[in-house]
Amino acid sequence: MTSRRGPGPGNRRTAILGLLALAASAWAGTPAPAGDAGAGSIDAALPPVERAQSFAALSARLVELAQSAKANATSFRIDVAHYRESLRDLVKENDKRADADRLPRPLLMDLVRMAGLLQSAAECQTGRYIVCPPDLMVRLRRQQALVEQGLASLPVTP
Amino acid sequence: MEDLLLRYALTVWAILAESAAWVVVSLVLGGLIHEFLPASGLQRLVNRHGVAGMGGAVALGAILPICSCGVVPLAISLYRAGTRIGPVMAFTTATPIINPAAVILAVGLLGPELTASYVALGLLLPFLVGLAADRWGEGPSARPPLVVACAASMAVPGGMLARLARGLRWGLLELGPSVGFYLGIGILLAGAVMVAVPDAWLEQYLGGDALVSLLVVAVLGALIYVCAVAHIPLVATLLAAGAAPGAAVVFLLTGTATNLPEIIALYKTIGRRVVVLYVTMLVGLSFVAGIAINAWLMPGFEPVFDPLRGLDALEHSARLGLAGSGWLTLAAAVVVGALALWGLALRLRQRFAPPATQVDAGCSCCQHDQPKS
Repeated sequence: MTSRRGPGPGNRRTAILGLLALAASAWAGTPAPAGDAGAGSIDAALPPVERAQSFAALSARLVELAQSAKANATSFRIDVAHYRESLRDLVKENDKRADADRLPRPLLMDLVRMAGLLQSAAECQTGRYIVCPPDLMVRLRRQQALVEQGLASLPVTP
Repeated sequence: MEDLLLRYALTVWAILAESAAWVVVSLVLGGLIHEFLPASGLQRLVNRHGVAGMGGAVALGAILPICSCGVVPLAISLYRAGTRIGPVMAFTTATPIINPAAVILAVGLLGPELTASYVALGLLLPFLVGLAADRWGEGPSARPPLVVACAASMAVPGGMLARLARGLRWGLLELGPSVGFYLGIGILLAGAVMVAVPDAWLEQYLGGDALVSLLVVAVLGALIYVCAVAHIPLVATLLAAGAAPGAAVVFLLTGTATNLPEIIALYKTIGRRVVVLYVTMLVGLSFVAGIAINAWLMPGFEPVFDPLRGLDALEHSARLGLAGSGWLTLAAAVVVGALALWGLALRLRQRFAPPATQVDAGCSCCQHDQPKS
């Protein structure tokens, strides 16, 4: 029979220090690492149509990441939050534009629904990865297709 | 074939991962209920006849964000602790259908009419299920015993710590294997149903306003696993793709309220009569509600919502959500899986052991597991 030994004083100290560091970083609001999908690529200075296209590109990357089941959950969640908040800016600015320059409302609603599905995907965390159920993946892909369809129907800017 | 197996594995895993944490929390709470509730004032309050008792059970269920699998240990514990079957079933029905995060998300993504229908029915249906369960839910036979691990506990009085330990032991070591076993079987079956049903079916039936569509959606929703918060964005996309509003609400109601794992676990532990009544009422009432909603909003229903309000709702629900607990999810899934295997081992031992050493019958330490009412 083997006797069970507790952790040594060194290990215990390391564990306590680790916990303290974790608590301190949470308390101080340490900035989280940037997402995997290049969420920073949505440039607020772009014209609306190009901005909408960059949303579609970001969601396409996020759908791919969710499909891979290898997306880091924290990064994925950061990207999804960034998508949502950038979309909020776009919607607000869109409301201020002249009617002719506005993005169509159905496209915005499709982008918001995509944000909802991506948020559902972000909740599917297993360990440190995002693992989505097949029915959600089906809806994500269809919604992505709808967004791309909506973008394709927009008039091309010279 | 490989793709099908992968889909099945992922679906089973998704159900387990989504429900496991709540199952563990409920087992712990269930143990405490088993130990402390029978002598408490809360028991008298919940057991009060009339609108107050049932309304209290529905209200309590509506604020807890527990899924339909997670509520099973709580329901069994309340029942075993002597709570009337009506409030138990009202609580069991209300808990997974409605919670604050789901309501916020529904307002943002489904629009005001559908949210009002969803919330009103989410409160009314459990109330009616509770009343019916009180009236017809229990047969003349005694409450069925659980198959439990006998070495676990003896009902010895003691101080607060001893009682806490005893409650936790009952919840995790006695109720746990039994509930885990039935939930495990249910999850495997629900995964098979979800993989077997083609995606086009759901869209096809959700899209129709015919009675058959509503009935199919109601039955399908009652079998598969649907989590209110996670599935509201999904229902929003189905609505945008042309789903009938009545069918969407029916899917949300029966889908979130119940599923195969829950039905099997309740059937085996609380009794077949009340479960048949529960499922029949849920499907039947949701079906009628679906007809009424379609008559109200169709034709010409367009799922219009304000994009900004939708984004606000997403943000609020993300704050209320329990994301960020990936390792806990994993640990809880392992615990529930282990409990299911333990439950299986207990059953095998019971089946193949000689009669004198059977686990369940004739074991003096399990007497406390009989109903207290």
